[in-house]
Amino acid sequence: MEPLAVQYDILRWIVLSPLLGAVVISLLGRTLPRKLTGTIASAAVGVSFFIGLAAFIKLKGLAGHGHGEQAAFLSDTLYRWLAVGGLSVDVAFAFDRLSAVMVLVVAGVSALIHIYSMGYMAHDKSYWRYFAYLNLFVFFMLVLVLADNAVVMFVGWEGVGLCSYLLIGFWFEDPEKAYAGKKAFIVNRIGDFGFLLGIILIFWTLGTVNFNEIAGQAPAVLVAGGSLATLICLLLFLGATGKSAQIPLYVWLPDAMAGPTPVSALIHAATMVTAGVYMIVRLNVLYLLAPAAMCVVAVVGAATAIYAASIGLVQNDIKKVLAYSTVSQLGYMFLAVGVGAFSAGIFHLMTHAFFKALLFLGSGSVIHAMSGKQDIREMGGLKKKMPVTYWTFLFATLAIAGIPPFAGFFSKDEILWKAFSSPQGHWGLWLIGFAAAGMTAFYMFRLVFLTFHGQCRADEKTKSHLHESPYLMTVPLMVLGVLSVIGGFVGIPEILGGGNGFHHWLAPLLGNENGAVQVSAGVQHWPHAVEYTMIALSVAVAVAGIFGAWVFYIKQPEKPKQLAERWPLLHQLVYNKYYIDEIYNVFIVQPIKLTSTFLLWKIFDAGVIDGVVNLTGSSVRGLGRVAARLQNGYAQAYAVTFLIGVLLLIGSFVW
Amino acid sequence: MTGFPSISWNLLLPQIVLLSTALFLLLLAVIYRGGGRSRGATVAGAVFSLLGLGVAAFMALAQYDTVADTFGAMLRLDPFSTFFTLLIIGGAALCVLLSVREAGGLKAMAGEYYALLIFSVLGMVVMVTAADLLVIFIGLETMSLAVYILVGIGGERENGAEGSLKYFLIGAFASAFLIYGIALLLGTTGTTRLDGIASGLNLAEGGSLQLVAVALVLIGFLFKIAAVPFHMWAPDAYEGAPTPITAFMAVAVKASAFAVLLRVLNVSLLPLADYWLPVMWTLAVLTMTVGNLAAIFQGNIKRMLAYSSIAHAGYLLVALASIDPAAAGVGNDPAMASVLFYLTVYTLMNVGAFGVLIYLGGGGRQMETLEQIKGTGFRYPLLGVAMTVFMFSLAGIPPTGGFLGKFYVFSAAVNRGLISLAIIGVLNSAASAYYYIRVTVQMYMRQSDEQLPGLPFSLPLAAAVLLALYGVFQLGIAPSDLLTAADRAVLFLR
Repeated sequence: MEPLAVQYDILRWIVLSPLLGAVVISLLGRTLPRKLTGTIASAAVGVSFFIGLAAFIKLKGLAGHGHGEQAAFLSDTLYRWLAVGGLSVDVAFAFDRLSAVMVLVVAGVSALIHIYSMGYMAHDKSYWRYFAYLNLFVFFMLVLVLADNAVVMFVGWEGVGLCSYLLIGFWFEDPEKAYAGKKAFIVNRIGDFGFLLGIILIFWTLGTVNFNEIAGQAPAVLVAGGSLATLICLLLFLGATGKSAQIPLYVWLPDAMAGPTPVSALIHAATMVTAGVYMIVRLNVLYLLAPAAMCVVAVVGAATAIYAASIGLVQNDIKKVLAYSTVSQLGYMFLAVGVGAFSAGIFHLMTHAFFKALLFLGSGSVIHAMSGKQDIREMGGLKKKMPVTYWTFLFATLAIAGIPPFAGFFSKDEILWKAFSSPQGHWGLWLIGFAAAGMTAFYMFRLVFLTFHGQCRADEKTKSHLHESPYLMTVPLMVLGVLSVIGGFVGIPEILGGGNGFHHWLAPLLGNENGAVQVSAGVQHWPHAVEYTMIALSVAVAVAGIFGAWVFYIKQPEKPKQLAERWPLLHQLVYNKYYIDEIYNVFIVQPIKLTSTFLLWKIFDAGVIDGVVNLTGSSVRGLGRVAARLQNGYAQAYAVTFLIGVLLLIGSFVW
Repeated sequence: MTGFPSISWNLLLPQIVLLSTALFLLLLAVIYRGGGRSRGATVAGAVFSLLGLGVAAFMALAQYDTVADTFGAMLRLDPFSTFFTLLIIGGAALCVLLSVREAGGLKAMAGEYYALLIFSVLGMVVMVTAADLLVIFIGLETMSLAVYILVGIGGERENGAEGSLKYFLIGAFASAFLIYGIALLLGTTGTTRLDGIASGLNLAEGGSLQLVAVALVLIGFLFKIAAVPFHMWAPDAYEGAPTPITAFMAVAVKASAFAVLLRVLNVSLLPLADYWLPVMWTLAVLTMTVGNLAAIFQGNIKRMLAYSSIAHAGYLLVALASIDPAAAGVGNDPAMASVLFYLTVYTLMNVGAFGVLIYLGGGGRQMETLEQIKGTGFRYPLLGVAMTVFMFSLAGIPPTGGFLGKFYVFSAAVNRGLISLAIIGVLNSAASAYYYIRVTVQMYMRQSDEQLPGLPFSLPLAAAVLLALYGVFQLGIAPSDLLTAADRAVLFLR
């Protein structure tokens, strides 16, 4: 069944509106009043959201008519970008059920974060530059989710990385921040290399980069389980690990917290970092043809989920805790898509966007009040001073911990259930996800208790400045707070009396649902009792985690220290993030530097040549004396290299 | 010899215009008192050079669709040669814009400087229209001799003389191999004509001597594109030359050498494709990798861009290694067309990057090393943005032309099943981001140690940078016209 494209011309304005905002602000920002700059930026994103809403309503109308049109989507083609040697790429946008969800989440959360930023950045000297970058980021992010082919998606993919780099290094005076920005950029390039090769391979095998055509042709052209399908999917996944901070390329995300807090909320929690999950779901047809690659995705996701959660247990910087928590939650999403539960992955992506954006914005509100301090050991008792921040933060924490009926409960529970019950699932994957859920509840409530409960441990000066944030900041918190509570209701599972509407909404786009691909033979039907037990268990582990945090940080606050003293090595190991940065430095960064410095640059360009010259001896020495007059003259050495090249080239021809 | 060959002079109008321009520029030294070192002479030199290049480009454009042989079929005019004629003239014109201020500072006569520049352009245009190895050689030597001098022009700069001499010595070395290879080909195939060589190649009779000849001829060209291991002159020459000449070498010299390589490989050496394709594969890997790794450790931006241009030659060699012998002359081979596209983008982004460097140096403060450009991004916002765009384009990041160029080249490799070569290429380009991004990090994220001076406005420099900026985006966002032109040009390559 070929999906039906319905031309919808205003689609382009979803994308162009923030671009226009960025252009206007970068041209006029210096002269405009601050409030106006922020308003323009926020309005530009707001326009995207409302057009997205209109498109969503139209798409819903289309979907209502009979069964045959279920896969209808809105499309808007701007122009033919490339047409060379069988490859034709249009700059075109497609608004289908998946991109509808993404556009609404991205534009909606972005708009809230823009408004929040007007308060948060009010006193920053490069206010307009910040908003220009932020709008540019939203532009690229919307290109990414609306692209109707892989090459345009790659443009958005690289663009968001670029903006993230600009925004991390936003406070440019600080070398540490500049370094963090650079690290993020370079680690992402490693991932992008995989993504680009994946795209090229897709084009090579399928002759197209258009998503609909890929979905249509892949099952016929690629052998299910074949090495080509697996290679493509693994390369794409490498791209996803870079952008979405999974093992082994997650190292940039915690450092990226150097950027302003609303940027962390927008880019490093709600939108950009979820691009990898979106990409895999977008290409789910390919992944269903490569069960081995899916297995890798699931295992990497689960491993990242628990690994990052364990680091989160002991961090003391409020943003670092949230950063590792993000890495861990992204791991859940990959676990979901890895076991074929694509809609659950996107569901969690959405609820996570709500509650994690809220957590970051809430932490920003706290940092704002604490005069820039981020260490939770110096906080405490902020509940009374900052009631709005506290209550919204608490809702978000309950959501991420998976307490019903908050948003995170439904999405995380679906992931855990699918990890257990899906044909590609495994009880081991479930167990890892289950344990990580307990850790999540623990470290998040540790954060809440240390920050908002107990006695304030701040110095007097900071204490005197404590205040609730202005409305520009608290209203977005409240909106996200509401979403964190009710956001999960769109996907209440059937067993709990819901219709799992979210899953049915996405189902037509998912390969194994519309019958296009059937790799998962023999779907097992589980008795309801098992499913109920699983739900009960995941709630129980969350409650246990919360209780543990309560015991450790409210009831017996001396306990954590005792434990750290009893197992000092373990504590050091986890606290120092398993020394992965150091290990990467020793085993990857330094060797590359050494190789290129000594082997290639020094030895190849100078040393080897010198040696050869010396070996050739006296005959060259006369020439050498001439060369010595040329400052650092290696002219004779160049000639020798040249000659070696000549001999090798002739040799390779004649042989 | 039976009479003088018939010559269609009108087909040679671009060359004639270039020659007249160069000769006229020599007269400038006479017209202006003080040996043409005055500011007036510099400006006049630039203006007349641009005029000459403009008229030549117009003539070339007028014969865009012409396909003809002339000079007893020594020269061949077709869309391929015209494409490169225009690319070279365009690149040279941008370099003239870059030169206006620099040339004034050199202790050289404006007449000499611009005359040599135009002479070398003439050599290049002869190279790309040549249908005979000897004519190629003449064009190549005309170009080279002029460039050797330009590298060292303005006697005060010590490393200028050094770079120039090294370039000349190694260049003479390379030319010797080239002419020896041509002689061997003449001996074994009985001709130096490009199409004649193809039919004259007979491995059964000529045997390994023909292969040696082919290797030697290729070396002559590989030297000009600075392929590893024939690259060692490049960093010295690039660093030593006045910056506009560095840009000129990086773009125009490289483009013309690639044009000749494409033509010789496709017209003369197609029967030997099984021999040279794997060689190109190896050279591509070596050139990309050595260029990129060495670039990482350069503190001098000119030297870094020199190694970067070596790496880019490597990417272009990826395309040469992906040529489909079956497609040559019949269908459009994306591998060959990608070279044309890539070279155009490459010209723009390099001219742009060098242009920004020159502009930054205008405040009386040297701006050549990573240390020196600290903090310039915010001090000179437009230059900062422009440099960032050029660096991102060089690194191959969308939506710039640099991305599409690389995408096109690597797709061509994958198209021929050279997956491992594409992987090495993409890895290399990922690694290259490290040193390109460092330039913007220095410009934006480090504070300058001292007060940065104001920069005097320069119209020609600003025009060159803006044109390059426009082109880099144009080719990244709406490249279809150029792609069509490139596709069409390679159709005539036979």
